[in-house]
Amino acid sequence: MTPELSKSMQMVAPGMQRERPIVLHVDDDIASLMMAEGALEDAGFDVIQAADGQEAIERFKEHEPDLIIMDAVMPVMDGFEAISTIRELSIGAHVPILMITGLDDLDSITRAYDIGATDFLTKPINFFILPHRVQYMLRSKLTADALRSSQSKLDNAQRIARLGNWDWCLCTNELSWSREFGRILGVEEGAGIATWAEFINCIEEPDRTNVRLLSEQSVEEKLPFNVEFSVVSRFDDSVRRIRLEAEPHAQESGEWAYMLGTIQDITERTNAQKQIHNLAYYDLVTGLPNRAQLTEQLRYTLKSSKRNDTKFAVLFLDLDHFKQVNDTLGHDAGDDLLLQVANRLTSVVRESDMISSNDNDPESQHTVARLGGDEFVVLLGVINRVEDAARVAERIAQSISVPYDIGSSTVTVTTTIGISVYPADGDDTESMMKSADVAMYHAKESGRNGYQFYSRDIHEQALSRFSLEADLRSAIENKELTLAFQPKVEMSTGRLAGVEALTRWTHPERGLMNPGEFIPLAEETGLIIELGRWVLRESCKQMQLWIEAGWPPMTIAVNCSSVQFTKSDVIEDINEAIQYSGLDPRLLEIELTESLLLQDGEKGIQILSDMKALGIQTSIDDFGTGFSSLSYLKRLPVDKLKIDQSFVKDLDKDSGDAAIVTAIITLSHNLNLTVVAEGVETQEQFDILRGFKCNEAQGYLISYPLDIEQFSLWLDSYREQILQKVSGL
Amino acid sequence: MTVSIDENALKAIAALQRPGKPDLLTRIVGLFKSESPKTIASMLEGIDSADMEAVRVAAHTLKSSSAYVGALELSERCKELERAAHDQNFPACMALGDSVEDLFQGSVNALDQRISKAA
Repeated sequence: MTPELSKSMQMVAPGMQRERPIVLHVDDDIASLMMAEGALEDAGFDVIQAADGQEAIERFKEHEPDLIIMDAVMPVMDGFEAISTIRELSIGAHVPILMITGLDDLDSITRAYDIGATDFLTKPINFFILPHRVQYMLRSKLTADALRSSQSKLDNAQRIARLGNWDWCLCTNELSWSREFGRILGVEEGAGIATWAEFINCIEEPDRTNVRLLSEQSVEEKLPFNVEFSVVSRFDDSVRRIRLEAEPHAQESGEWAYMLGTIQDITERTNAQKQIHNLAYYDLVTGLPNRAQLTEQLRYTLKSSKRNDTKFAVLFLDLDHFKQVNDTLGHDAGDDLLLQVANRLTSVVRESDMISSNDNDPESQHTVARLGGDEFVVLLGVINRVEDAARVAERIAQSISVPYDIGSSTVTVTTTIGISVYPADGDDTESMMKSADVAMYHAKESGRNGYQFYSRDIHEQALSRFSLEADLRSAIENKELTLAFQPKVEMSTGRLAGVEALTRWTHPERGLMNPGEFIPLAEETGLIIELGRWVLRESCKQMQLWIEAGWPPMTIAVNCSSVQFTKSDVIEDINEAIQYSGLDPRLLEIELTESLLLQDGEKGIQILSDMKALGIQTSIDDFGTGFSSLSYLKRLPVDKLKIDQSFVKDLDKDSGDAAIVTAIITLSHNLNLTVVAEGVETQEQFDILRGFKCNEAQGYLISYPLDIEQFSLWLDSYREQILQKVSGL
Repeated sequence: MTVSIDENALKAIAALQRPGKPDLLTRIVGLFKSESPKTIASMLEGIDSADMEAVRVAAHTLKSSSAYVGALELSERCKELERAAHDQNFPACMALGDSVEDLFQGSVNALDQRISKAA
């Protein structure tokens, strides 16, 4: 490349013009060349000349002129052929060409335009006009250059920004778009997407419906909108994330005619954001959430626990002797161990999901996180009881202590766990973490591979209830449970009306335990279901044995817990007990508390009806303590009401209680229900109740709960006792 | 043959004269005188050999160059000749070709007179 040429190439950069533009004049008529030369040079052009098409091409390549004046008819190579050749050169595609033709030669003019001439001039040439024409053509060329350059810059800018633009005509629904728009969606120009509807169809659901609704709304309200969505590129089937911006535009007449907008491919940015988020919130070695993510989750959990008044626990743990693994087997082995530990923690926590009361609530989710080094935290989002945390801790300790295969070695590590429980051990994220951490150090002091609650009280409570739970479980198996019977009498006659079966537990260490000490625990743990079945079966069997022994038939009342009511098929259990014992179902009475029935009214009515269908009797226990609606009570298919002992206790002193008792009795009689007074301890109480026409009484005055032998003795002598008590009748 | 020269054409050439450059009119007329005989020769040769394309190209060239120097009669004759050649009208070409040389000579004489008068 000659220096001159490189200079001239530099000069024809887009939007620039030589100080003296170069005009190539091609004509076989030397006189014409000569005359034009003067006129053009005067007007500020440099002129180069050629006598035929062949020479013109040579001169063109050599000088890259800014404009060509080309005669049509010439020897060697005519103007048409020369123009065709020049237009095919990369440097000749856009150079303006002025064709010189005969005045009356219309064919030549048409042909000249067809092959790429810019303009024409007829012979004889007016050499005074010629420079003006050339000047004008150069100016148009500059404008065209600028436009081309601007288009190319815009196209490049769109390509670099991965941003395409579109406009949507609201009248025709037609959609036109830039090249980059097509590249982003993977469609060729002039193919595929010609209307707004076709564009919408490229979008994946559920985004598609969303974009359609938003665009309809935007058209309706004349407001701009933006939205993000996913498409599958038709080029390579890759999923692209797209951000769309749109705004409605009015015509000059003021009508809303266009929607203009852009789409931008933000796939990489979205991915990068995800990656940044992962780096910021997840541990690279184990993939577990890191401290930052844990803190966030902890904050959620705190908020949720405060709002719902629930408990949660933080388990802080580290690995005992982890440092030795790292030192002896190397860091890769250490990382491998951490990963395996993470997996075990995750699966223990996943298996413990049933302790969460609402699994679907993201705020109460359990989280396993790695704080760094060999420190992990397990956040139990919701626990019902502190023992739940203890149970998970125990499972973790057990799971972690199973030997690990690390490369060719087998490694054993143990863990020590500190537990803090909300709200007892802290009311913010920091104090909860700190308490768990402190608890872990206490645990270490008292020997590794164990767990410790932050609060001594909670620790003891958890341990005690934990062991009591285990004991209760074995009590059922080991037959440490026994039944006690408390008789009820008919007040008007003194006749024995029936007995209520009560459960007793003789604990191997704690001795005899009352229902109040272990029934709530049995209910919390669900052991009540099994316990309830046992009580039902044994009570029915005992009554049947007495009857078979020749005793007069009487009803046996068995209490039913709300847990049995809601979480097991109590009808099935009752049926089974009746089958097993052979007891006449009419002699079985099920006692339900008022509050139990209030929990789910319709279900309560259903179950009571089912009981009636079995032929058994039903009674409402502790009546007066709940808030039964009277209309509901009327619908309940029950036989008896038992007045709560709290009303009976001060019956002789408190006129208010007397009024309530009278009211209950009157109400019951109106509803054809039998009324039983509980907790009758004195003769005064008995007399007052009898005066109120209460039907039956139960309490220490008649008898304490008795075991089987005591009850047999009591039964033998009850006639005389009762006869004496009711002798004033 | 007396041929008239269009003064406007000559004035136009004079107007294109730039200061300090060789006299444009002299050069153009000189070119006309030296180049045209070759063109006329190829034109006549074309007529002799019935090569209409050669006749057309030559007539086209001479049509322009004569017009520039104001030899309008010659230019008009060449235009007719170009048309006839284009239409493959051989008899017309023969008839028109006869007078071209004379018209050229007359135009040259008139130009010479005009230039010497101006000098």
